[in-house]
Amino acid sequence: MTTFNGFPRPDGRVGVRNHVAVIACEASVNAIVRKVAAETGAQPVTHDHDDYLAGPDAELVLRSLRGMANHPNAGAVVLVGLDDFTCSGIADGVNGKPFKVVSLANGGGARGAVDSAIEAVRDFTARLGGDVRVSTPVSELHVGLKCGGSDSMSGLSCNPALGAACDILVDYGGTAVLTETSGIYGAEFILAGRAVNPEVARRIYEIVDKVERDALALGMSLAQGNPSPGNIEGGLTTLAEKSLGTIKKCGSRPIQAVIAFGEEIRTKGVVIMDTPGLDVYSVAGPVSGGAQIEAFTTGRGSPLGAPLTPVQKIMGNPENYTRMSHNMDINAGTVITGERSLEQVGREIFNHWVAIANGALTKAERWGHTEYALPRSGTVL
Amino acid sequence: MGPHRVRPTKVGDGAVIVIASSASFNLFERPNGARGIRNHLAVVSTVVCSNVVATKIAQSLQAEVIAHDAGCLQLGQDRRRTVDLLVGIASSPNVGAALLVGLGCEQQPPETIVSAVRQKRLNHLTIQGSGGTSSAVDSGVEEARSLTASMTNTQMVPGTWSDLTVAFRVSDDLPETNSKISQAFGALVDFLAGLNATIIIAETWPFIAEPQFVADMFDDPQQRERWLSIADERATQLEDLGAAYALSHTSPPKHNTDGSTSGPLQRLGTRGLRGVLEYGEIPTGPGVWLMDSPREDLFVGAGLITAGTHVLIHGSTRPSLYSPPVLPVLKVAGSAKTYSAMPDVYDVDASVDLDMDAISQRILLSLEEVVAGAKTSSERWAGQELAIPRIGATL
Repeated sequence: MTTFNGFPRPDGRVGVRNHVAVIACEASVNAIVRKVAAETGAQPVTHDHDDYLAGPDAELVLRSLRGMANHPNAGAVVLVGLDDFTCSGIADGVNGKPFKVVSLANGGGARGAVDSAIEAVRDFTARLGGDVRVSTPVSELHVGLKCGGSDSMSGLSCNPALGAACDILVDYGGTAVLTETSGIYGAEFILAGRAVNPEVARRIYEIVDKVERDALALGMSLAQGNPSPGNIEGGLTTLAEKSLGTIKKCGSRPIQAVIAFGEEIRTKGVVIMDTPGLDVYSVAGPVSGGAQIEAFTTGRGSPLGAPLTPVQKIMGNPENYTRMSHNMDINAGTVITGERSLEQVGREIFNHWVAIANGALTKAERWGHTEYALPRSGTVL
Repeated sequence: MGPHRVRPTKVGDGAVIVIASSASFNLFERPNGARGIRNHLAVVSTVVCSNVVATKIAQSLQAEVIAHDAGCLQLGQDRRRTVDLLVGIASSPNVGAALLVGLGCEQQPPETIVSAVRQKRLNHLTIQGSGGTSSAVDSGVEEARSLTASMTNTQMVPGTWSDLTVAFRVSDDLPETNSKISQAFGALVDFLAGLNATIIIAETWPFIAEPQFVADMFDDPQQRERWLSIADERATQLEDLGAAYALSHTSPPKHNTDGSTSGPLQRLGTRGLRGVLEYGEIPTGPGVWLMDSPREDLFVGAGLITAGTHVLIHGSTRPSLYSPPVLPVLKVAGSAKTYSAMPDVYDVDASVDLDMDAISQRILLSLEEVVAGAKTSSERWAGQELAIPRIGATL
C-alpha cells in the first residue's frame, strides 16, 4: 500500500499540514483575522455571515466553521469573535485539539484583539513545532475535485486525467469528492447510473433539481448564465457539454453518497458534495468537510487557493500552461500535444498528491492564496 | 471660513436641540463636477478569483481594496447588482482613480465594466492576460503607481454641505442606542438637511413592523407607496423565515401619547422624507432619503458608496468594527463601556453626561473634521470590508 507521512489528529483523521487556523466566528471580525494571518502566516478563515444563528443558513455556516476548526490540516485553532458567546457554537464542537478564543469583549480594542490572537498563534506554532509525521496509508486521503475556468480542452485532458488519478486513489481505499452541482447539470443521469443504490441516485437528481429551481427563482435557467464568456471563448458550446467534461474528474468508480456543503467526509470511494459552482464555494465545501487536498483543473487558468487545504492546479491547455505556469502544478496539456497518455498524467497527479501529503508545497500555497467563502440559500435580508 | 450657521431643531419629545456649524472645507473636484472628501486609489477586484491579487496590489501602495465573493456564475438580478455595485464603487466621488482587476474568463471581465465607470482615471488588467499571480501583481503595482501619480494634481475647491451626501445608520436597537444616539442623529439630519446636504438613512428593518409611521413622513404619495411596497416585501420575506426570526429582528417604533416619537423614528428627523431609495440607488437631489438596506453592516457599504455617499455616521452600543473601503465611517458609541473597550474603533462617546445640544454638537464637530480630511478611527483601522448582498441563492 502507498503511504504518506501525516499528522494524526485526536478524532482519527490525519492531516497533511500542521497549520494554525484563525477563524472568524462572525463576519464582523474578518479584518482582525486577515491582519493576524498577514502578520503570522496562520491560515485565515473569513466569510460574509454575521448574526447567522437565527437565520436560514445557520446550520450550513456552523457546520462549515466547525469543520474548519476540526480540519485535519489544522494542529491548533484560534477563534475570533465580538464576544465569547459568538464563538461558543464553534468552540463547543472542537474535537480535542488545542484552541483559544479571542474576544473583543476582553478589552484592548481592535488592535488588542489582533495582538492577543497573534500571541496565541505564536504560542501554538511553537508547540506544534515538535509534532512528528507518522506513516499513513493513502486510504486516509480525502481529495476535493473542482474545475474552474474550463475550455474546450478541459473535458479531453485535465478532467479525465484527474479521473484516472481518482480511480487509483479510490482503488487504494481513499475518497474523491466531486462538487459544483450546477456544473453537473445536464450530465446528472450519467452519475445517477453510477450510484451505488437507488437512494443515492434519487439524491443526485434531487440536488440538480434544487439548483435549477434556485436559478429559475432569479428568472433564468441555469444554462443562461453558463457557460461563462470565458468558457465560450475557450470553445465550449453549451452547459451540457461543459457538464459532460466536468463529471470526468471523478473517474469511473461507483458513487457512494451525496453529502451537504461542508459536511464531514466519512464515506470511502467517490462522493458528491452539493456545492455551488462558483469556484471559491466549490472549493470551500470539501475543504470545510475535511479534504486534506483539493485538485483543481483549469483550461483558462485560475490562481485560487484555500485556507488549510493545499490546492493543486492541473492545466489542460498546453499554451495556457506556458502562460500561467507560475500558478500551475501539473501540465495535462501534454495529453493534447500527444506527448503523454491520460493514464500517465493521471499517475503523475496521484503521485503529486502523495508528495503534497508528505509536505510538498503547491503553487497556490506558495503565492499565499487562501480564498474562502460560504454560500447563501437566498436573499440577504 | 464658511458662514456661521446655527439651527435649532425640534426633536421627538418636543425639546429643541441647538447646534452650530462654522466649518469650511475644500473638496476634491472630479471631471464630471462631483466633489469628494477623499482622493483614493481604488483597486477593484471584479471577481472573487482576483481578490488576492487586488489585495496585494492595494497593500503595496496603501490603496483601498474592493474585494468580495461574487462576480461569476450569477444570473438575472444578482448579476446586474454585482456590476452596478462595482461600477458604483469605482465611480465614488471619494475615488480619484481606479484599477480594475479581473481573472479573465469571468462573466463580466473588467474591460466590460470600465466603460460604465463615470469620469475617472482608470485602468484594468486580468490575471490570465498578465500570466498569473506574480506578474499580475507586478504589472498591477506599476499601473497603480502611475494612477496615483496622475491623481496628485487633483484640484481642490471650497465646498459646502450641499456638495455632500451624508449617511446615517445604527446597527442595534439597545436602549442606549435608542435614547441619545437616536436623538442626536435626528437633530443632525434636520440640521444638515437644512443646509441642503443630501441625507441617506440606511435602515429598513426597524420600520418594517409598522411601516405606516414612516409612510406618513413622505410628502410625495408615489414615494409613500413605494416605501409601503418595499416594507411589505421585506415583511413577507421575514415571515417566510419564521415568526421567531421575525420577532428577534424587528423592533417596532414607539409612538408617544402626545404624538411625538421615540426610538428609531427619531433618527429620521422632523423635516419629512423626500423619497425612498433601493439599495445602491443614487438620490436625485438634496433632502432626506430612506435607503432599503440589509440588516448586517457588512452589506451596507457597497450600496451607500454606489449611491454616492461621502461619509457614514454609524451608531451602536453593541461593539461594531465595521470599516469599509472608500467610505469614511464616523463611529458613535452608545455606552461608555463600548467606547472604552474599543477606543481605536469609535470616534465619539454619546453616553457622556452632557445635554443633547452638546452631544449633537460634538458629533457635528467630528464630522466637520472628517469632511476636512481628518481620518476617522475606522480609516486608521482600515478593515477594508465589503460584501455584495445576494438576491437569490449562491449558484
